Amino acid sequence: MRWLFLLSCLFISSCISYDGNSRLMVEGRILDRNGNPIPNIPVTVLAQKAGIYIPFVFYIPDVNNNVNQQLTDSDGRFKMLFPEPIDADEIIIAANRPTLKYPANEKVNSRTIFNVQVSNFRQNALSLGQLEMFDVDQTTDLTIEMKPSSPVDRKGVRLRFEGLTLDQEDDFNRTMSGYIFSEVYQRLSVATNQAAAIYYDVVDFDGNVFYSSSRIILIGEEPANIEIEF
Amino acid sequence: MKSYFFFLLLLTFSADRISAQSKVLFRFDFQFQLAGRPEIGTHFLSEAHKSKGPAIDWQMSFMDFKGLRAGFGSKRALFLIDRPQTIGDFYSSRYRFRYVHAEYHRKLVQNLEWYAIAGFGSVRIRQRDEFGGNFGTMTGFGTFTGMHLQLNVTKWLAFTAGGEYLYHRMGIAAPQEFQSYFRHVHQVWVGGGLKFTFWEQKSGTGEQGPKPTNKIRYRDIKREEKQSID
Repeated sequence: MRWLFLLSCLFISSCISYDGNSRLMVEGRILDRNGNPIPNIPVTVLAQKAGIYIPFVFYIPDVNNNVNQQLTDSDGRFKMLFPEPIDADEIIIAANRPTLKYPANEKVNSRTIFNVQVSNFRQNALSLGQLEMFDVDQTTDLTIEMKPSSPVDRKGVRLRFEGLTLDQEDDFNRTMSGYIFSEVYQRLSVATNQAAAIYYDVVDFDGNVFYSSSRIILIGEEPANIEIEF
Repeated sequence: MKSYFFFLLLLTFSADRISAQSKVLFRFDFQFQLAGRPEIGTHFLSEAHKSKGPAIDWQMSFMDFKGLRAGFGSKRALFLIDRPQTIGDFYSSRYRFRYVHAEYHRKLVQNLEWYAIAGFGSVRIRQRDEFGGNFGTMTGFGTFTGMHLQLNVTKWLAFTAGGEYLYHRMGIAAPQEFQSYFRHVHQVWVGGGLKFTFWEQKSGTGEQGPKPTNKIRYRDIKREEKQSID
């Protein structure tokens, strides 16, 4: 009985609660690379709360509540209202991800804007402006190769890529730190004929930054390869 | 056919008993009413919801004073979400309106009367998803006014039919362009129901006279003896 009580407490704590007396609105427009609107793209708003994981003790997965979903209209616009989440960690806006209601458009890439906070809404509204998407046919591979000068130094690289990728993810508030890579390849499917940027921090495994740098890449029709030495 | 004759029989039997209603000082009614909801206007209830099944309205009234009664009641309804883009992607809304009201009854013919009703109270609309998750509660202040016909079948049972106009002012914070959409709710409920009278207390000089009884009381015998001697 005590275990049942504890489990129920954990389950309740993992739910997201909402303020029914407050509505938030998110709007935007989806265009292709030529500036033409793309209709019938599914756009989803998710409220997410991080789960709890203690190794060998218990594990509660992340909670994702689909608070609204909509197809873009003929002008590529979407406008959605949803109840304000009270204790969610972030709000995620996902474009062209398949949902239970709507399938994804396989001809264009998907795009996710995460780490949107309630404080980002001005007078309960948030405009994402114009979101650019591109055809899946116009993709090529970009390989990023990390080359440490000495494996004994226990250094790594924290990467941030800015450009058009097949599964493009944007941090709305740019506060979350990325993963640390060391002696690995990272392969991305990116749009052809674009100029992109790579920002990277060389860090140790405690997260202390040794130095930061950036590099501009010109991606054409052919697969590209970049080496980062540190 | 049998039920029709039974209905007529009830009407004839009840006619003389109901004629003494204006003498009632205190009565306790319970009304159970089923109503359909033709929503009017442009607001979140009419635009984003569709009703599922009939709405239920029960009310109790007391204190019959020259046709004026007062009481309390509750209206309940279940709505399914029809257009989630404009409110949020949840499954259903449970509507509840608790109110206090006043009625004014006037007799039309022998056992048919009309009454006007008006009241105010609190509105609560609870939003839920398919799995019972809570998406918040919308609250507000509600008023209503209406007109009904009441057919008194027996002393204890009556049929009612009529319509009511409901106005709710919800306290929902929303973006500028949606403030009116979430603030004002208009509804018209049309329906009929049953009214049960459980208890009534009459004044001593009603038209029906003293209650007939078979018991001969000692006081009455003494009175008759005294009259005969005189």
